[in-house]
Amino acid sequence: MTASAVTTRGGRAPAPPRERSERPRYWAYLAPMAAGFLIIVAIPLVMNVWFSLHNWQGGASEMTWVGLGNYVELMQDPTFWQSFRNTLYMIVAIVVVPTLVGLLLASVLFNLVAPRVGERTAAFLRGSYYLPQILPIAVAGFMWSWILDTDGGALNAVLTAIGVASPPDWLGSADVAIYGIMLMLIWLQLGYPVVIFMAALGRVDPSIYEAADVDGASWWSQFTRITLPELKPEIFIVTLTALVGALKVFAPILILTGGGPEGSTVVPSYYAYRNFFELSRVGYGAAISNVMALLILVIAIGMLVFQRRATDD
Amino acid sequence: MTGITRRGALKLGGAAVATPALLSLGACSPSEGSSGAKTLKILQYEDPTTPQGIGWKRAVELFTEKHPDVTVDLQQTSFDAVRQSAKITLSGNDVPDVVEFNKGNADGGQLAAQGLLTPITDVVAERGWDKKITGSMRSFAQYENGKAGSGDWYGVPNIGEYVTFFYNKELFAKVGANQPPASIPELEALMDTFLAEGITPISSSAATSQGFNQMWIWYSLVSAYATRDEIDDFMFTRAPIDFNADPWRKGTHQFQEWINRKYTGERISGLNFEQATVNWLSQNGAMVMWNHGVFTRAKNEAEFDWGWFTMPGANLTMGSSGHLLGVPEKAKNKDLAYDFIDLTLSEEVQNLIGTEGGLAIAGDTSLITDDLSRAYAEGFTPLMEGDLLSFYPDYPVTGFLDFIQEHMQKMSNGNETADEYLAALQKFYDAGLGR
Amino acid sequence: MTDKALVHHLSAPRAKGRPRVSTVIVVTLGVAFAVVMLSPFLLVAMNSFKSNADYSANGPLALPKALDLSAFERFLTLIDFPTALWNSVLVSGLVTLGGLLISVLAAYAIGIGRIKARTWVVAVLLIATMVPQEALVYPLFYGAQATSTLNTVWSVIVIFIVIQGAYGTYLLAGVLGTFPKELIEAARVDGASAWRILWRVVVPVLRPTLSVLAVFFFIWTWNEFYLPVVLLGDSSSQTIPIALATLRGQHAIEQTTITAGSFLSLLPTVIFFLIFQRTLSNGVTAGAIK
Repeated sequence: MTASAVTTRGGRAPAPPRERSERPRYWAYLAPMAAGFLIIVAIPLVMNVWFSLHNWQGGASEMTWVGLGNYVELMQDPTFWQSFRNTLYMIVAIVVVPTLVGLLLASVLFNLVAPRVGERTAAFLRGSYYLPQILPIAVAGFMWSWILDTDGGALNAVLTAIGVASPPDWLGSADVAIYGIMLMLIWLQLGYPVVIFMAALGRVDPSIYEAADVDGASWWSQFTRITLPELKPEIFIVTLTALVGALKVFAPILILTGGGPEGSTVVPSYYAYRNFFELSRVGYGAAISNVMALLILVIAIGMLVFQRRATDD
Repeated sequence: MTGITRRGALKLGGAAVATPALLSLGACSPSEGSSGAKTLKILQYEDPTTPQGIGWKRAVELFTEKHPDVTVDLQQTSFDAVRQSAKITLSGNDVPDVVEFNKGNADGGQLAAQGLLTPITDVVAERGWDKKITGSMRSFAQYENGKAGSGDWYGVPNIGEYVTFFYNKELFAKVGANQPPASIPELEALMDTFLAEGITPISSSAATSQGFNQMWIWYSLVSAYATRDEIDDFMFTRAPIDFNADPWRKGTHQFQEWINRKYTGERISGLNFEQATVNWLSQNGAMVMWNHGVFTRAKNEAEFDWGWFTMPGANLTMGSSGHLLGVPEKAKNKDLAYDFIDLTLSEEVQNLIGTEGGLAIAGDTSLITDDLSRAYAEGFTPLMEGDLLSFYPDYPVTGFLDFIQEHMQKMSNGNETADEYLAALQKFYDAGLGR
Repeated sequence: MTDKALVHHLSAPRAKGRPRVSTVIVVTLGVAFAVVMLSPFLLVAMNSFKSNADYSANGPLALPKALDLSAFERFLTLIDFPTALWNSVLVSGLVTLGGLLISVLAAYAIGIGRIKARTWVVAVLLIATMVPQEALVYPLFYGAQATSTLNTVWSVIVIFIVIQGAYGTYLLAGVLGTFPKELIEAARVDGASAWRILWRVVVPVLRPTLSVLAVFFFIWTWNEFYLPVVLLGDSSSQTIPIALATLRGQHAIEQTTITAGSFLSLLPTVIFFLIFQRTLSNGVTAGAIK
């Protein structure tokens, strides 16, 4: 391997020749993960593809070959397309808002609160923002159904108190239910970026901030010019994993709305679950999950390639 | 830096914890003990403080008296878990000997059709269970090709259920009603009076998940005008159904009327049945329509005078047998399983269930000491013996529950008319038959 | 420099004891926001201490009329809490440890060892986090059966070690990709093998990231419901979320009991989080550690 071939990978120091003989040994470290992946994910996935080529009611019933029939049906299924439209809302609620707000909160806590008020306060606030992630989703769902309750709920009580004339029927109206879900998801997800970003800020060289302070830069300007660029790796990580999470989101929909009202909050995962278990259409459910997995994979690879290009600049 | 990092220490700690755990788990191995002693494994999901749960506990005691060399392993699961995973888990090798499973074509019917349950017709005849379980009580214990109503027996119910209006006597008195209404028109007039006083007549719910009240009200109205044959044709898919004819047409249109006139309240599509119950218990509604779930809760928690009545003047009333006890095909101790089931149907256990407030299928209601419970059970007996129960609407076709719920929601929101619903219903039902 | 010193360097305090107006505003908003975030927990706590009658008569948003422990009593009689708690701790604990181990090993190969096609390897591993669980349930069930691990916690433990491990590998591989080469070079010059370098040089630097991962893994695994419900049919192997679910009947829901149970079940995870919280203030991505 020539030095130039190595440096095209982003200008890292060329590997010393001794490594070449050790490289085979690194594969051994990968072995446990690879073996686990094969058994737990790869083989079941292949089996899932096999299932999707049949009509099957599950359990001990017969499997009837239909080839690509399930996929053809899927492409024309309005519920399926609706579920993908809803995924866009999910992305806003799980990726966009929490990441942006999380960046702000992390920066405020780390660069404003911690130095001026104390680390304990910052840590306490961070903990309270993260706590929703700890609550079992079934419990969180119940709590939010009380909060979003139309007539007796906490949210509408607050809205009425501040003068809103006719607060929405959050979980009952097909027009607003998705927004109710988004509120809960933002609440649920916010802690994850805050924790990661605050941890990331710990590795940023403080002298950069000090220099900016000396120059009299405002907090906002420091945020946009120092914090954001420095945190690029973590922003990628959070965005990618949150994106995958948004495409896969399932439990909040199951608990809070069951895909309703009137099917307005169905998401692909939930639709697959219904087919697997309530409608006993295992083949069709398998097709849905395969299409989803494929889509997620394409998006993730896209992002990874994008990340690699961006950090290689 | 010396060897052990925090991570390393934790890992060692983990291994130290894991080893005894591994050993202890290995010791808890399945059925066969070392000396050949047997274990009877029962998997069920009844709350152990409910009448049926108490009855089964007693049945376990009686069983142990009868079979002192057998250990009984009474396992607790949930309705949801069984609904979701029974098909998978019962096709495995390590199955319970007695399993409680959900009645209906989508659940029990599927299990029967896939050969996961033992057909017990012979045992039923041998032990005389068919004398105790008669009429519509046995309809969902028998399945043929996955459809209930006929065929081999696959399970045995212990209790029955029926659906009634529960009403707040104090709110009724407030509008001058000292008796429950005697006919549906009277009921409607009463509800008009409630609305005039600003009281919600019926506390209801229509959320897609768990918002079943509207569905039960709709089906109760249909049942009010239906004949035995019409319901049986529908339930057991014995004959084509024309949903544009009565009783479907009449019941559904009346249901829409009730929604339009706000008898069932407003903005209920986000509520589930638990919230509807709480609304009634906190006196935000005069009536609620439900089964013994509310009966028990009202008995324990209501802070006002209350009572119940079935849909006045109805032909048939919603209700059915309870869920079923069956024996998986791969069970290892079938004879012991049959013994246990036999005990649940015994006089002692059935009477115990009755005295605890449950609707025992073969109990003696005169033995029930608590007045309320006895009255409730006595209300059930004529329905059971007269074959006047119309079951629950979601049993005939797979996926029916979600389908009906979705449309109940649409109708409750005013986004669908009765005719549109009936058309969709026709389509779904006919398609479901073809599956 | 320690982190504390770094932090205090960032902003020189004003005149003694006089906080800036902007600080007061920011902190107030932050605390208000925290209260909003925590309010559902308040609801859990409130409703755990109500009697059933109180809950039914006054609804879930009212304060309890009197503190009532009956919900807790009921919960503990209905559920074998110690067993469920032990199972949850065992499963979450072992998955956390196993997941960390498997991630460190794999990420070492990818980030430091720089094996070929590593972007593709990471992408493929990420599939494990992308696949919805219902797609895996049938095959995993049959697999658990075939290996006699069905109805034991081991089926669940192995599965989640792999699933969490995939996420961990992705995260750690990214971190190790920017690991300072000089440290490794120095160790290699000293004659250390790859194995020793991993444990003596790399892992200590990774500790902060590993702490973050430990928190995530523990909590994610603790709350898992779907696969465990299928694979853990036996009461003796049930984890807490499954045990909580048994309180939901088909036509009756014991709301105060469920809430009390949830309250009790929260305590271990909250405690775990509070312990590890302190370690979260260090970097996730290894940086310029001089």
